[in-house]
Amino acid sequence: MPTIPDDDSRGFADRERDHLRAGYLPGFEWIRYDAPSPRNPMRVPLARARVGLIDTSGAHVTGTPPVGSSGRAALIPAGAAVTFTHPGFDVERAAVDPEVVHPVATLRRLAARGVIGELAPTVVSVMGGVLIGQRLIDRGVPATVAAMLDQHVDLALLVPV
Amino acid sequence: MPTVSITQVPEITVMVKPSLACFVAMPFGLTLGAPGDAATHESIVEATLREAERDHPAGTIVPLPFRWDRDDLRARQLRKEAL
Repeated sequence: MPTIPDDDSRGFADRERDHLRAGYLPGFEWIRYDAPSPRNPMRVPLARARVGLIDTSGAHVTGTPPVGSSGRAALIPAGAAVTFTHPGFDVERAAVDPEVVHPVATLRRLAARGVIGELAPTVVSVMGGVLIGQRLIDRGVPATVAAMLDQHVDLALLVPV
Repeated sequence: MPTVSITQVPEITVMVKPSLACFVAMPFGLTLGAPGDAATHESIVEATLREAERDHPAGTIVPLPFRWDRDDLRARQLRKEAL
């Protein structure tokens, strides 16, 4: 892979794979693709763009069931109170301030400043710690794409945890 | 549909090859910065979105100038010593 200056994470993929194999799923392997997804050019300037937010934080509307390791996507009205259910990170930090992984207010401030046009009204969250990645591909991805297309999003932003 | 992703681990991102990603050296669970640090949240999201307007080849990972320097949380996470 191309060298990224100051990348302190080199070697983590192997450590994480070994950790997951030892403790959770002996056959775990990363999903790999041979070619990159194509880039689609922006059709409107960013300042007029409707931005769709997708995160992998395992957010769900407070009081509703988490998506867990099903690979499903939660469709969340932007600004709704959310709870984070994810085994792979300390959700207490996000409970203090959801913006650290679920930047609804952040995107709204960018809209108010004229950096983007607006935030699409429905946010998508998946639980990124799905060890059987095909579940996410089969269940979460189609729902995510549909949510973005249904909202006529001009640019989709993915925020991982 | 144009897309842009954030990544905290480029060597995993390069396996799945999204169309465009931006690297930030932030802890897991604090992708956009510390709780309450709205200025950093906004700066990272804005910088990421602005890259979507630029002419990068498919599969590019753009390093952004955001690094976690409050404590050793990210380093411990990368060593699998902290969540």
